[in-house]
Amino acid sequence: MKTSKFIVKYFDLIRIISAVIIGFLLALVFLFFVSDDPLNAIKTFILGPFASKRRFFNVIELAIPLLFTSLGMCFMLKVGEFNLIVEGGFMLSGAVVAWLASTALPPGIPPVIFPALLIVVGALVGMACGLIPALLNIKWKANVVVVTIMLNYVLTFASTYILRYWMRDTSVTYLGSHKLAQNAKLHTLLRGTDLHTGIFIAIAAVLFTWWFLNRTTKGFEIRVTGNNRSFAKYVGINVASSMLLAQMIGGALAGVGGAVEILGKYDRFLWVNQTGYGFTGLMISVLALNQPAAIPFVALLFAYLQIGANIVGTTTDVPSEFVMVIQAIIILLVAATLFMESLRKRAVIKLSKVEGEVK
Amino acid sequence: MVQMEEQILLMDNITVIYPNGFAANKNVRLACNRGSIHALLGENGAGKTTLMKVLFGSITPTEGQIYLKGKPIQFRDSLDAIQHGVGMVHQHFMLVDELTVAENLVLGMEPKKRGLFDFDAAVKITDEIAKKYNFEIDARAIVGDCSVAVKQKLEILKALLRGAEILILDEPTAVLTPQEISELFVELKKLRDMNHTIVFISHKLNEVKSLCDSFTILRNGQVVDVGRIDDFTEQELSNLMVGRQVSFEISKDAPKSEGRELLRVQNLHYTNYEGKQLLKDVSFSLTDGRILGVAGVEGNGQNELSEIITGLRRFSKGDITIDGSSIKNRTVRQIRRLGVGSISEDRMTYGCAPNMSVRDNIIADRYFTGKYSKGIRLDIKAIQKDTNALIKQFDVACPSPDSMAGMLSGGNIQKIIAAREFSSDSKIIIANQPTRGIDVGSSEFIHSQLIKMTREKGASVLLISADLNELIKLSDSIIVMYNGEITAYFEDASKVTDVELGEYMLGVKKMSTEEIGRALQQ
Repeated sequence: MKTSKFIVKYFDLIRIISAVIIGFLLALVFLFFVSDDPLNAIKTFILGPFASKRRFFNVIELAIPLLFTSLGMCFMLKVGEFNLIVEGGFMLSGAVVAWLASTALPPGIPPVIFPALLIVVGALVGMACGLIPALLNIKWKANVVVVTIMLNYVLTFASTYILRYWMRDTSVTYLGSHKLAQNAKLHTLLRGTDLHTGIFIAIAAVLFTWWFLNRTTKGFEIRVTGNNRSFAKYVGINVASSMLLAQMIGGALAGVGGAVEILGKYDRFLWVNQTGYGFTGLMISVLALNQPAAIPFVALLFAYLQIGANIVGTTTDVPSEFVMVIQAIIILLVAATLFMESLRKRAVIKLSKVEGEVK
Repeated sequence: MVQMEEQILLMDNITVIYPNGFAANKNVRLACNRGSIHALLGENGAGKTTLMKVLFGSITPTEGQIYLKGKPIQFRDSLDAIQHGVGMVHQHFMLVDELTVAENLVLGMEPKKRGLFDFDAAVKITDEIAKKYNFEIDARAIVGDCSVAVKQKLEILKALLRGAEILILDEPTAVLTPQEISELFVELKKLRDMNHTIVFISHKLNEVKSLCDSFTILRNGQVVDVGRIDDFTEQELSNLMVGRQVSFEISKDAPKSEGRELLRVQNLHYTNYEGKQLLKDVSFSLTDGRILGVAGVEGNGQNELSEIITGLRRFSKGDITIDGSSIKNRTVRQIRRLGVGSISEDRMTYGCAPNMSVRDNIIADRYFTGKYSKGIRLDIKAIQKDTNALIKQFDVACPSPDSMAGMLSGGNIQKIIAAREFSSDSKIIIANQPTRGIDVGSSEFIHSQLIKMTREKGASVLLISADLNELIKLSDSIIVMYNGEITAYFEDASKVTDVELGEYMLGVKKMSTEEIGRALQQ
């Protein structure tokens, strides 16, 4: 009786934790097959991220961009649009900000003002990116998924164009921009790590997202619109404007993420391919059931998995890509809505029978 | 007469528990004899439809066994059920509107000639089977142009053509006029005499009394009584169904109208984007403190009318004024601000956000007002205080104000809607099928609230309903809509009978322009 009640109440949480555990176990099985020294690989994978201060903070550093993209996705999904522009918006914002910080703007702008300005620019770039698919969708009913998948390529190539033709440093042998102005960069917080002040912006973004969605009239409109569009119209909510707003904010968060990542972790702009942070952000938001309060935990989990995999990739005979196996399995299990449904059903049946007898 | 009492169908000890924990059927037993009409009675939500879905193979029961002609059986799906001679006529017809009657009838078993569909043969099949069962139907008519009654006949013939011995009719009379109902009953009795078995699902007791032989009553998913219809009175049956003494009467005082015109619809025309004219020159007015009923077979413009008044659709010609101000080119929110509340006929689509909390659903039309927000910030304390009071006042049974609205029963969702629409100082309530599909207790509550709104608060109600009983008892005056036009206006609703309304609803009769013109105050 008590367990049944527990299962029904915390079913979502149980389901996700089970998915994570199963994903882990299967990945371990996988490691046994591909590695000559599986025990070492497993140990490195699980404990590696805690082995040194630098590695531990690597996890937190990686969580920062993931937080921005997943919060951006959270806005998209809350309004019911599968807008994947956070991927391209993140990258283009990084490129524009890098160009401004390395080439276009004078390096003498004072420290705090310079990065603040650049982050605002990043937000605007992201916002514009989010606006395009939203407008196409509202005005001409263009499918947001298709538009954003294609548009992401456009934004990726636009970014490499900026890199190649506007800010390339020909004095280095690899493809990279000029050095970013020192004043533009975000400060490192801890000696011996790359943890930068961007973490505070990320935390602020989490709080903002929670507050905006749950405590403002505009957030309320976004939630109603995402939940039931016909109902939103019927109570007099301007559906088109809340769709636009949500996708603009979602894009803006991705844009801030791109700017913070470049200014916090890089000396030069080096991205030539999609970063993948947008799609990981999607996974995080889905796994967190679009709850802003749950997103930091899931983002940390994903960062931990990725860092563990990177360490495995550099120190053992297993390529780091195996972490994709875990991520894929977890998402598969969470997305499969009937996964563990029989457990819940049994609990529900038990409960309703007991209740029936009481009556 | 029934020659021998042969039990053709037995559903034994059926229990169904839905994934959300709702036990729709608890140890239900249903037995039917060959050549009889068996009534399955119960309120909305008593578990009738669930039981029939089990029989028809769309739901696998948690426990229990079905016996057909004495043999245990479990249908895999509806196709399987049809092959075993069980046919079902759903509330929502499964027909292709673009095809003819004959084509719909033979769908899936088309007669062929040289590998091609043989339309003439299909017509012949239709005429033959219609003659055999004494149904009148035009085989060459396009289904989309047919009346609801014809579509229903077609559905019954479809089942019969496929060899149905047991015919399940799920609330077949809900969409019919009194005239069509009596015609249907003659045909059903004929079917019974031809040794078919009919399970008749309904909660309209007068119909059951005149048609059925035996009955099973469900309440809260359990069988409360089984017996022969003749041994019980209507009142006894209804008490069994609801579980307490029910009064069929709705008590209301005479309207206290000051004669202030709150809603005026004048020469309203509406043409949809396909160019079909759905409202033609509709004019009427509604003064304070009164309930105006709108009768009509569904799809004769009532939905369009309610959506236009609430601003969800734009009208093409004419004008609508709310308490003196025109609603032309106003948004839904502006119209609501003028004092229009509305209950939509489709609760789950327009009435609520199922995955949001009860609280959010109640404030969805007022969260932006100064009372509940400062700037863009929501005042959660004020919201909590007022919604808690409304949940209590409107008697919404929910585990907590944070529970998701979609988890509640239809009646409770309707109460949430009432809590929102009746509490916002509305001057006009557009109530479109306000009690469809909800239990008797909740409907009584909604009725009393509608009366309270008009008698105590001086608001007006435009009541659109397919339930003629409800319409006649609640309304002060009634208009009838047929084919997008007003065809009748009755100043005093208490002097109208349902049969009389039926004649206008079917388009058999039409009042003169002067008589209809009285609906509009000069």
